Amino acid sequence: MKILLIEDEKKIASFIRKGLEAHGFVVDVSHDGNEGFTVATTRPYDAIVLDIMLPGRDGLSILRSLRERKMPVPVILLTARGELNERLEGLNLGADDYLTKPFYIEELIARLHVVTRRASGASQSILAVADLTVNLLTREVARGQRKIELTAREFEVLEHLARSPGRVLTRPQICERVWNYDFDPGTNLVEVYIQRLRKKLEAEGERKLIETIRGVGYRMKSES
Amino acid sequence: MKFLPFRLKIALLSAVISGVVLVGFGLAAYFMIARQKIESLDTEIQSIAARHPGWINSRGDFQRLDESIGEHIIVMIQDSGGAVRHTSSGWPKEIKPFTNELVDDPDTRVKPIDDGGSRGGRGWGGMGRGLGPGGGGQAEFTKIPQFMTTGQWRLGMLGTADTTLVIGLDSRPTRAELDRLRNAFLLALPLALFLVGLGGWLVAGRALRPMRAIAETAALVTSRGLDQRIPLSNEDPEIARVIQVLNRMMDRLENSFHQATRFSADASHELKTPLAIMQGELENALQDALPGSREQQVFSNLLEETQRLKTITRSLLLLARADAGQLKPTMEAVDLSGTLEEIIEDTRILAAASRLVFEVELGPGITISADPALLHTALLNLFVNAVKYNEPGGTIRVCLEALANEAVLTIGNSGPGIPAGEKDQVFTRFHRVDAARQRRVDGLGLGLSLAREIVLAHEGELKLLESRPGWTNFELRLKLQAAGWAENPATSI
Repeated sequence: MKILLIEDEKKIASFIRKGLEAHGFVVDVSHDGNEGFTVATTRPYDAIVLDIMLPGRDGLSILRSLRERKMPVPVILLTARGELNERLEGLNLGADDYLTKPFYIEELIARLHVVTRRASGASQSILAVADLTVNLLTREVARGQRKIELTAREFEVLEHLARSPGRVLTRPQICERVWNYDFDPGTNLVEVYIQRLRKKLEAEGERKLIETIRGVGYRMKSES
Repeated sequence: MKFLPFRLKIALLSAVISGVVLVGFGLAAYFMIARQKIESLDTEIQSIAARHPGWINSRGDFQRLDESIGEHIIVMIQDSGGAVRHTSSGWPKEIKPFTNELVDDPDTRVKPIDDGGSRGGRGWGGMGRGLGPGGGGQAEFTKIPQFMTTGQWRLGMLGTADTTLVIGLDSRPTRAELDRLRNAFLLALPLALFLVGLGGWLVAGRALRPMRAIAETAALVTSRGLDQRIPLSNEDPEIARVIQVLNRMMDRLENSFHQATRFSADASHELKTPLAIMQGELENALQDALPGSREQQVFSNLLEETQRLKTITRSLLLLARADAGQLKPTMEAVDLSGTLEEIIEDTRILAAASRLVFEVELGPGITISADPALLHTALLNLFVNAVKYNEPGGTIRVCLEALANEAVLTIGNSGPGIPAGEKDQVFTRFHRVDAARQRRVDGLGLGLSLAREIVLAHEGELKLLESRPGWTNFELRLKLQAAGWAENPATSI
């Protein structure tokens, strides 16, 4: 998937590019609003990650011009402010999503998946890891033929893990994603939910799916 | 009501002062008038004597004299030895003949006055008491007259060389006049005092009005914000000056407060970019490191610390916005009962280590309009607080009910309680109860103040209901969602 990243803060652009590339995205970066807008209108991308505060044209004006030219490319806005009216304006102008800095790369990736899937007609609504299938639309989970009942929270934890098989997710990361808790003591919760998930997912004789990385976090086993 | 004692003081003081002045003035006036009246009686006695020299000269023929005087005048004629030559018919028996000698007065001569000439000119005509002509001749009073009051009579003794004429005038009409004057004064005094007191009351109220305006504005400054100013409506230079000084003080206060707020907002805002970079780089590094390696654990620790910084930054930013009046919740319908169930479920997990007992009573389906993210933060902070300051094996009691148009939530915990001196400070930033500090409870002490600001931004109320050893209870009140609102959520924006 090809992503255009328009972000003037070079260090932020650099880690976003690294993170996205590690997930198999192809990333073009522009550090300037005017240049970014030219690139966005001349080359095809699957999605654009757009910072609002930019030298040259600001993000909202780029977005407006794109939508005026009837370009439907999914856009995720980035901002350090998180002010309500800015967010509403962005969404009204046709942004597909909105992320407040600082954010986790994993979060950006998850949202990129959502907006591109929406744009391409939901063809990727099923996550599969080994014999585990997670249907994001019907919220059905199964191992092989065995259907598994999960609570809403458990499903969200599993979805988050299954989106990035092979990658380590830390407890605060999961906590922020699933619970929206941006504070410490929430990390306890993650352990408890991982245990519950394991009890349901990993029946007697079945292969272990969720791996604990001691002192770091958890990851979903990748293929093999 | 606050100023009533002062107003009362002014009113009473003016009443007392004018009371003393009025009474003093009244007494002086009364005595002066009384003396003047008596003196005019005495003058009349002398003038009667002067007009009737015949009384002295009639020498035994008193028939005409008796007929000529009315009942308001009594007359006695004595010779210089004290023997009574005549008493008029109205002379009261209890007044004995006089024995005192009159002293010669070489200067004083009471001349008989010509009837026609005196009347208009000297004003005595009005005192006509039906006296007929007293006979011809002249009488020369050569003694210093003496006057005295006996009962209802004012008596004057006037002496010629060989005769003493005693004339008594009825003083009752004069007395009555003086009494009327006194009564009028006594009647008018309380009325005057009341009017003066009332005036003092009104004047004091008028004078205090600017003070009240100042106090009310000062109260608004605390409740609504520092942009309130006292209107400079008063023209009195003293008051105007006070108002100016206060307003200038509030200007400075507002400025420095805004500076502090902006600094706090800017600082947390500026922190976000470096935090974003740290977090992103750490996240990437963590993924690149060997699973379970020492480096990866270090990255993970750093990432956790970054998370903590993010939390603090966010709290500070929210608080700065609240201070600037910019914490504006995006309202939507929130199922408070459901939200609480989830949070309680999470709290049970968080509190598992300290084996807390939960007593939960949630009224079902209680819906409020609130900003879900902010409300969540506020509620979570309250629950984390209840867990943190609890004793192992303690209790958390949660009760939610809908009362009238409010949702009332109480969250109690069996912690050691907040010392009496610190109760006012539980919502103060960076404040942590001393006892808790010794128990090394995590946290910055921002949670409760943030919760309170969020609740205030929702026009709700959060207060410490009670705190004693073994039980601390917080109460949260939020407006219920108005009926019919759910169908039109667009109005929330």
